[in-house]
Amino acid sequence: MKKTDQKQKQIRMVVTGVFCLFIFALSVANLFAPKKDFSENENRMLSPFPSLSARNILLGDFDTEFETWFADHFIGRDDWIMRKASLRTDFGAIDNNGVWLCRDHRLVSQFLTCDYENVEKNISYLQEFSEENDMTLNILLVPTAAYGEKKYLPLAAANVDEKALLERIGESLGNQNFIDISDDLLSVNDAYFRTDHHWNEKGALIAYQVICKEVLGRKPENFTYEDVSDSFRGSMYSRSGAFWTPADSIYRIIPEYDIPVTVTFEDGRVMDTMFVDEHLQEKDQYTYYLDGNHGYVNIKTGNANGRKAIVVKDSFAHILLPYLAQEYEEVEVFDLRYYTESISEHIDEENREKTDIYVIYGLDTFCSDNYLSIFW
Amino acid sequence: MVFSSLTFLFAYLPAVLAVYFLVPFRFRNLVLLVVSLFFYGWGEPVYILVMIFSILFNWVFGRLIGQYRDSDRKKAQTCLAICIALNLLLLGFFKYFDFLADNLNALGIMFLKPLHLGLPIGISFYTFQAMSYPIDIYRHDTNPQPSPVSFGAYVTMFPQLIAGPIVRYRDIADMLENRRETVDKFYEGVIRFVTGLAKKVLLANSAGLVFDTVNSLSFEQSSVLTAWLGIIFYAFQIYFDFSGYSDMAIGLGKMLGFDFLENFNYPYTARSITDFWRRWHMSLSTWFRDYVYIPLGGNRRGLARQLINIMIVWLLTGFWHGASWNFVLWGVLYGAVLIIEKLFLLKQLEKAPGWLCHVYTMIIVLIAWVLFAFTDFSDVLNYLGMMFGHASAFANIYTLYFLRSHLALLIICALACTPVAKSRFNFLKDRSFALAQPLLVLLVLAACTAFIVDASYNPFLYFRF
Repeated sequence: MKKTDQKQKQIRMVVTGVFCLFIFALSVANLFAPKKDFSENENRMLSPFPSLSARNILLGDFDTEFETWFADHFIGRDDWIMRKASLRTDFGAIDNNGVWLCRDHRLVSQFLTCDYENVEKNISYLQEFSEENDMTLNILLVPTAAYGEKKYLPLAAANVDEKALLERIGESLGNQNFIDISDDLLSVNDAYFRTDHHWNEKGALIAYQVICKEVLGRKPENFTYEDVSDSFRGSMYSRSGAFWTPADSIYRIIPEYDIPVTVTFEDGRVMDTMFVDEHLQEKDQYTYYLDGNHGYVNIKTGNANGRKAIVVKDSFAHILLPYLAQEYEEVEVFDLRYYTESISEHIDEENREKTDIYVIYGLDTFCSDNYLSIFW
Repeated sequence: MVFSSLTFLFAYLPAVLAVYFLVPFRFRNLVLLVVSLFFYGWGEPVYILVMIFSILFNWVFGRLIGQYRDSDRKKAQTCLAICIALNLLLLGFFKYFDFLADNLNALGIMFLKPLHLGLPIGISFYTFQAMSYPIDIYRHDTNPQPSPVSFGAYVTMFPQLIAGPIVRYRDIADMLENRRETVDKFYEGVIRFVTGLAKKVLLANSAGLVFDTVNSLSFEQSSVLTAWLGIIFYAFQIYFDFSGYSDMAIGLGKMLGFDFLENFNYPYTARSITDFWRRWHMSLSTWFRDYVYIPLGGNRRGLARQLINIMIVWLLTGFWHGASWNFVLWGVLYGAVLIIEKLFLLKQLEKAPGWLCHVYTMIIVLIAWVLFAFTDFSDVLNYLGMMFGHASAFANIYTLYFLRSHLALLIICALACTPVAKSRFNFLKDRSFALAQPLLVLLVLAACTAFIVDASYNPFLYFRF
């Protein structure tokens, strides 16, 4: 009896010690741990220490700012996040932070639901734009990896029926040239990055080939690929916390008959390529294609056929443009999230027959996008 | 600041424990008062003034009532009335003013404008705590506290400040003067606190996420079974959130040498709604019983009067939970069911098989949670509709997803609602493997930290400004 009492006492001491050690050791370690300003994984600046002014403390948001700062710089932050992800999978979860954890080390964004009202709204904006300018739009909505990679999804991964959604949108846009690549996409093995929400060079090639056939009525060019990076850890890698996932490769897209290009950005910066090698040293290597997000990009090529394309797009178009630009003498690219002026003005009245307008979006962005209203 | 935050766990708590145990006993109430005021003022420093005002007038009136309660009953009564009125005025102003203004405006009476003041944290809890003090003195259930510091420590005490339990002064009056902080007690506190933290961080937050996801689905994706699953997860969220907070409060109290009364007793194992409310948020029910129901006459003035009293208590209980009509309705629903049980159903239930009693109780509880979950009445109807057939399917791929991805969570939650987990844990003490308990505590703490850090994780997907 006495002995078990003794033992109980010891256990209590140890439990108490473990608890105190845990909170005290981590607190102290955290105090002295080196702080960084930028989180690679989150691709954002970490919050700075809040202002200590009396005003901010008494009337401002000192409390929440401090708590955000404290959490942002917490010791071993990325490790904790990975632990949480692996704990969840240990307990049978098939997703974490909105990402499906799929076979073959694939991380696929969940597309659980879609706001149909917003879809209708966006469709009507496209219709209005088309009428206003008396131009038929070539609309390409790229299904997400949840559709294109569905054979890798875990059992019971529930997503919006993208095929049906595309058909529904296609019907509403019947008078436009609606390009549905959903069947073609399934014909290649991996049309998407494993660790990013974007499609890859294979997926974009499919779309290019379909566009050649359906819009341009000509044979597509041939391309070769050069492996320029094997260390691309994309958006889904970051979001999922599944930091054990191996990295993706990035490929440079090289046309068989190389023609010179001149790329001009909204700030006047000029490049003679659509690829930016410096970005391969950064976290978000998808920006290798067309330098990431810009409100306006002008691409001029050596293909002197007098044809012009106007592309209204989100980032899904960045990897398609190295293909598509080959077919035009000039391509003007607009991102409505950053571009606030009129697009109609860019339609050259005398050259209407030689101008094609494209709307290229990821299907899920198109569904949730709130920027299409400022189309013209 | 909430207990389940990094700031609390890895800055506030260690600092408080260190200071508290470094100073001699006679300063500990002062330390407790100061750190609690800091805790309270963290979110809204100006509201410290409200708190100090509340402490001071309750303390002063407590002394006056104590002075007159034997000599001049009338004066004591007046003091008590003023004190209660002041408390209710504070609560009413901060919690219900906008509600009143909005409703009057809706009726076309425009003389009040909503002020949109932030609610001082825990005001619903600490005004109720504070009010128990003058009442208990008046009733000779306790004596006035001579020290405003000790009384202040009681009112602001950070463990139970934000979410209860509602501690009556008389229950801890002795502990304010002499309590013993021991390793054994600290150990109990650790186990209790870690249990509560796990309930809140691992179970409640995860369950809440499932309910939110269910809610985000559009009609095309909805199904009857998903709706039921969703509200079951909501029931888990509410229970583990609230009882987790109570556990953490009781645990922290023990670390500091206090024993608070229990607040929950496995409510989801109840066999009737009457039973449920004896097990759910017990400190609130006790408060309403002692300070509203019994003073109104309780069951001593005939059945009709008793039923009215029950209804009054439940109207107030609903309203206490939030300044919005859905909470009032929620309270009224419970009041009605309790009356029905009192009149005849309870006798029937006693004869019914146990599983039927549980099913009956849980269905009522789940329906009531729908009222609780949505402040907008059309959302309530919408959700109830889904549960009872107005959905696009009985079950679909989404149901399967929720079941598959959260099956472990569902099972763990269900088990944690029963005494099973606790008896298993106590079992660990007697095993030969002595390290089982400390190891478990360490693992749970680490898991909670991982989940809390992850909640602040905010990957920026597209670009950098």
